[in-house]
Amino acid sequence: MPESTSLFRSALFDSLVSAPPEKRYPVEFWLGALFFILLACVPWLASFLGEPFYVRLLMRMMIFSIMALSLNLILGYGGMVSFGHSMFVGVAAYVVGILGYHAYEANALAIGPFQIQGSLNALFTWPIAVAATALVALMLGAVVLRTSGLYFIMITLALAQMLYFLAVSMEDYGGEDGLQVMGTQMLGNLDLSHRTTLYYVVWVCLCGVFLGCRTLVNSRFGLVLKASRQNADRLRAIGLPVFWYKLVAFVISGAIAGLAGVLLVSSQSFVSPADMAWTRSGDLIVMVVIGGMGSLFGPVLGAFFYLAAEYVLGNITEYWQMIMGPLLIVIVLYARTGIVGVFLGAGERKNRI
Amino acid sequence: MSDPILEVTRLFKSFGGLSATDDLSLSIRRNETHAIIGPNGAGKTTLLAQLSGQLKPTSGSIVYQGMDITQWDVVKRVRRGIVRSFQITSLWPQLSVLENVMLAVQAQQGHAFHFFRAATAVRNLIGASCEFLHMVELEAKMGAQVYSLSHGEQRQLELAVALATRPDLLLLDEPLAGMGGDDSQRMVDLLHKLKGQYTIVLVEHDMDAVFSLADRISVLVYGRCVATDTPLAIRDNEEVRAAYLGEEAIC
Repeated sequence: MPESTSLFRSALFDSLVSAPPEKRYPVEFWLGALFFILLACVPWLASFLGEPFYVRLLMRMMIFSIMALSLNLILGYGGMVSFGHSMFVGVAAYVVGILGYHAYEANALAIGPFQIQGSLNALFTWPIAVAATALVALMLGAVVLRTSGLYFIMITLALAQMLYFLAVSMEDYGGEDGLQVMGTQMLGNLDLSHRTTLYYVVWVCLCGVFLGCRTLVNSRFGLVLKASRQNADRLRAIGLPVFWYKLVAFVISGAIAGLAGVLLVSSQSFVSPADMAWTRSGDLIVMVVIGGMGSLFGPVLGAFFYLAAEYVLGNITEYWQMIMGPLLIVIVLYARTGIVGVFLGAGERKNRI
Repeated sequence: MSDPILEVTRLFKSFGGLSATDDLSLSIRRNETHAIIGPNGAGKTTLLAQLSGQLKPTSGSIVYQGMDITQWDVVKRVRRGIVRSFQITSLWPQLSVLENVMLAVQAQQGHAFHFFRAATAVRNLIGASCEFLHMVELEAKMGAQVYSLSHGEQRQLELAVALATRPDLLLLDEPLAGMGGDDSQRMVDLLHKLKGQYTIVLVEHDMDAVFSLADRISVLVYGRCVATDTPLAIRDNEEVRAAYLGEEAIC
């Protein structure tokens, strides 16, 4: 390198690294922080209003936010349109459900020569469920990531359907009717059957996942992930094997969806094949798209909006989907950058991609 | 002259019945600028794609620094220093200029499996990236999104991305494509700066640029190499005139 550039380098460092603080913490950051603080106040507000149901509703919204965040990592940033994302949720939920079932029935789960004791200890079952999901994501990812575009959509859908029918066929665990989780799950000293306790566990998970996603997309790995969506061939031409980067993203995304599945089964004390149906995967895509693909906060807003609309419209009419459908079309047509784009303006969002 | 860095021997590539590369042998010397010219459809880009690994030849061999690399894929070749740029600009349009170069620097440093620190907080990465932007005189635009750049600037960035992988052998596919006037002159000046520092295989249609830049020129016609010589000798070569200059106007 020519020597003359070193002076120039140091000047650039100063301008880049010590960027003014307001640039590093944009409006979006503070709005997001306010949003999470408000969420933390919900149990208190609900008891004040005498409406304990809201705790339940908001908890479900937060769990779906985690699912949408995980999908957004691969869909919004990595350009992988997975139409089977709910399978990861389902796998983790069934792992927790089945281990809980065997603990309650006090008979060991026999897989070939191995005997596995059931458990209601979340410190044990949750990591196992998330690890199992990551493993499933690794194995499926190694296959599906060899395709792209329409083929990728179809093959993820096919694999998700396979797992769906596996769940339906498990007669011991309720088959199509689903599996009721009896007994009390404990996370250390925390009694997870206590609604407010579980609410805060979910809240902590959501905050952690959000900050984790934020770190990930801003990292060097995140840069490669974003680049792989825009031009994968060029990445190969500079010597980066795109496949491995996509696979790692796919596994991380699957593991986060697994965490959401664990929380889902804990919150409803029940898991059924409906939790991993392809329609659920479709709902997740809709949440990400209406919220704002490839923005950090978009999927969270999308999940909240979708479930709120479902709740409000569902109170008005049994045929709420008649209203929801056209509403979604209007959003997609007139707010192409999603709800986040409406709040932040299209220009600012472009920079966030 | 110095020893060859790249030795292409009896290369064939056919698409169905059409042979795009036909018994082509070529020797590229270290640190020379070797231009490849020929009329449209002569197989210049196909040859570059085979040198860079995007296409595998039907038969023949490519030896690079003593290693037979004929069956190597793109990623492996890039890691050993064979890097190409593209005729049709191929960048990451929704990333910034700086981020585009950072990707290439990361690739050159080995891998990018770093999940925690923000990419913009890695000093040596930014520093190295800035040097390459400085080389192609794009440092003023480093915060801009690539889609907002002019065509000429995108061509400069294309070159910076290739340089940032620290290649030994640079394969440039029409770096002047679609450029006119000032842009074109700036790129030629830039290539003059690189000349001698890198081994460059240059595919280009602009004859003024080719004859001023190249140490040697190979002429391709219908996938066959009809002559390889110095620019002066190529100008006077009867076979070249008949096969190429006579048939089509220089464009």
